[in-house]
Amino acid sequence: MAIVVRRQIVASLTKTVPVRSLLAAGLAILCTLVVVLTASRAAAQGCAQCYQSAAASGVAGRAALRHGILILLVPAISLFLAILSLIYRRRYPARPAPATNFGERLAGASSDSVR
Amino acid sequence: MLAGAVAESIGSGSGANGGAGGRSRRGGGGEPNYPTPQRVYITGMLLALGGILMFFTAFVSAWVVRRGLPNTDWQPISLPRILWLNTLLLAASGVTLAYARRCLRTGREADHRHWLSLTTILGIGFLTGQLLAWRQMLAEGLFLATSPGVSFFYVFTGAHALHVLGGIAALFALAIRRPRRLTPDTATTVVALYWHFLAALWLLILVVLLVGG
Repeated sequence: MAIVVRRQIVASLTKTVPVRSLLAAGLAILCTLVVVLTASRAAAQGCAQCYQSAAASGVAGRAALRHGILILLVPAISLFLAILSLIYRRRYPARPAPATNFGERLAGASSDSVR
Repeated sequence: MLAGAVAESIGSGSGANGGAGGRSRRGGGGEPNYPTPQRVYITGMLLALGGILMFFTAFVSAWVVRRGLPNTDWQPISLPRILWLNTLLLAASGVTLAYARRCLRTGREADHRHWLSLTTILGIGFLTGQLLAWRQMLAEGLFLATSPGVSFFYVFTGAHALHVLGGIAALFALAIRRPRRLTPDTATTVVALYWHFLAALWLLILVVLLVGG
């Protein structure tokens, strides 16, 4: 019974949403989970000298370092999102341009008739 | 005013010649064919601007960290007044470039070249003003190694001036001869993108220097 219900759900989903989109969404969720779950292990990594230097710079120095890192993050994320949106907007190959004036349309029609 | 010019340049990036998704021109009364889609040049310029943005952001980040460190060697500097005049010159060059673009779109090629030449002259004026500002700083005994604040001033303005020099070369080339591989509209759009970006970048640098001063 449960298997039948599950098949019906999957069938209804694949009817409305393309399978490729479902796979992409699943992959994105998986990647996010991997990043989130392994972040705590990665936090301990780093250069010991940098750590000592940052620790010795006091409260103001640590705040300055945090601000500096955040400033570096802004353009990097902006560029990432911009390139991602560019890829998404241009995901289809360029199509031939539509004829813009009567002469070009006429030329197109005559070439079609020759074919 | 400057923002309007930028919006015009970007908004009409795929204009009459560069339009239709950047397809090469067919026929068109003896116009040469352009094998490369015109939007490729605009995309390339946008990517280059991203790189330049990262370059200057790295400087700003270093400036924030250095200024925030609890040392006593950071001395505030008073900016030369000529920087305000330079800012006006750069803003005016943005406006003249927008006019040049408008002239090209309305088919007035002679006016287009005239406004491009004026933009080039204003850019050279900006660079001359920057040189005068440096001379003024040097006359006050503020050298590159005087203090971190002064060092950052020279690094910021020097790196920006080098980029402006590249923009002036592009404007000059566009004013004296017709581009071969891209349409005049695309060439003007690409140069305008770069130039308006440099103007916006200069405002950012000025704010940083004012805050740091």
